[in-house]
Amino acid sequence: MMNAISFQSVKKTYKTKQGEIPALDDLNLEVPEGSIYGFAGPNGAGKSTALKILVGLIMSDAGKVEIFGHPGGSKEAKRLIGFLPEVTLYHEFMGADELLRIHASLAGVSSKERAEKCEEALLKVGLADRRKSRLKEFSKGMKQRFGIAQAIVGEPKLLVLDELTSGLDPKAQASLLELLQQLRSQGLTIFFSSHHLREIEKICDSVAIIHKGVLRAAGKLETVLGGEDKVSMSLVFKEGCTPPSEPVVWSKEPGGSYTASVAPSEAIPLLKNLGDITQSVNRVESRKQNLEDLFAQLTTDLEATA
Amino acid sequence: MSQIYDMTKLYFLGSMRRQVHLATLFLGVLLFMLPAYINAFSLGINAFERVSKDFGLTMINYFGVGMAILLASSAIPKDIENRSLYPILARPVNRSGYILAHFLAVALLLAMSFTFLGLSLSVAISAMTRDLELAIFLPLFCSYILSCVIAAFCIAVSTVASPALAGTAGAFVFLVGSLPGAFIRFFLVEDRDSTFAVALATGFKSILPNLSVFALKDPIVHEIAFNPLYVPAVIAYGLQWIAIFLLFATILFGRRDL
Repeated sequence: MMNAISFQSVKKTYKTKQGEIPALDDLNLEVPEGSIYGFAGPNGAGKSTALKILVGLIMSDAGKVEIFGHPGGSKEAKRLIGFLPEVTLYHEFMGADELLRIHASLAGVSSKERAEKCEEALLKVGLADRRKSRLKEFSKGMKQRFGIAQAIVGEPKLLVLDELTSGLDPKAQASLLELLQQLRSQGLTIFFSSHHLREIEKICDSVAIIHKGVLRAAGKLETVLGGEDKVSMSLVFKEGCTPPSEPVVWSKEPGGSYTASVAPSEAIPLLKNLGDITQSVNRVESRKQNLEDLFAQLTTDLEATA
Repeated sequence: MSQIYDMTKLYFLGSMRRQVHLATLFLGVLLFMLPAYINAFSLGINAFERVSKDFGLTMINYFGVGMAILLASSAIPKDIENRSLYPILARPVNRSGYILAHFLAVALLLAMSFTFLGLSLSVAISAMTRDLELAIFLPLFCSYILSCVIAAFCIAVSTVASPALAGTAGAFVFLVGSLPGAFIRFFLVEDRDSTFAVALATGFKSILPNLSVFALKDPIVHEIAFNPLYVPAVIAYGLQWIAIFLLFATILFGRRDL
């Protein structure tokens, strides 16, 4: 199967008055065609930078980006992409249908097909009955749905979405995620960035985790999470006690507990290795590792390395 | 072409929403009343026609330049701030087309305003003189080209600077570019004997467009004959500067990270 997206050793540094800020450091990532690929990372991790390089809004300092084999930023590549940026203010004085026709024209839809394609896109996102309404009358969730409509109106093969559900209520979030799954079933490849790890875990079949511009993990969700081979072990210590930094890296949770991801066979030896500090352990919990555990682990690893 | 047309439509409608046409309407009403007002104070000297034309054309010229600066210097920065340019430039659209569409939207709005204001003044003068007044449209057209040159300059600067800086730079180009040669010769050289000011003014004038060539008001108001080829030459000169500034804008914007 062909790769929809391929980042090859992509680097980007922003030059500011405070000095150079590395946004992407040697990013290598491949997104298979037909997948829903989640691109996770905290705010400022480099997700939006990578997405903007992908759609040609910014240029990388080094490396190569390809979309279905076409160079990123080229007209051929852009014809295959539908892009929804984070928090966009559309021309809100216009009607949904009117603005969508302009986007359809910019996407290269012929004037004969434009009305039909706009109608289809509005139907897909559930806004067909609001086609004449002005965008300023739309709720935030409806604006995001319109955003998806403008992204799919040119019938792209790849949908690139930046923080799609940011700032939406849980109901609107769930409804948009359902819409993404429907679009994927129609053959689209979806690459979307988010710092909401649970929604990535819910709908994505593959995931990449980026932190401080460095790709920390990438691949099929089950593989990245380690399947049944990894458990997340949480220890709650008595006040003032912390686990040793060897042989695994413990990440501190908001409630004061410490978490580490280990293979099930390593759990008991690890507890034994805690030595005297075992007396300070109040509670031990173990469960299957999820994306949040892995993310905490990977970002702590990076900080420890730094 | 269809893409540029659609973007122009989008930005034109966006500019219309900024309600600058209300200011145009207000000035139009003012210009409509101007000849009658001036006539009331002319004390029997029948010069109101010339005074009305002179005053009215000057007002329209300054209004047009002000409007060009206001609209052009903020168009692209506003688009960037709202992030509304992202879904557009992620399409197979050239950045040069995007710049051109913004310019055409401003130029179209200016054309509408100049036409409305010109008609207001023309109708008012014609009503007073009982003679159809169409000659004012020639200097108005030259003022329109001048405003378009300033708009193109502001768009170019605004691709890398804030609206305030782009607007200030546009006002500076208008002031320096409109400095008549006579001002430098008589005021700075003979009266003040300021070598530095002369060098500065001459230096700027030599690299910036000479906007004093667009001042066709005096020959029309005072019925001074001029070469009929002057107007096409001035239009060509204006278009050349617009092209230079838009090319400059495309180069600057083409390299910019968004």
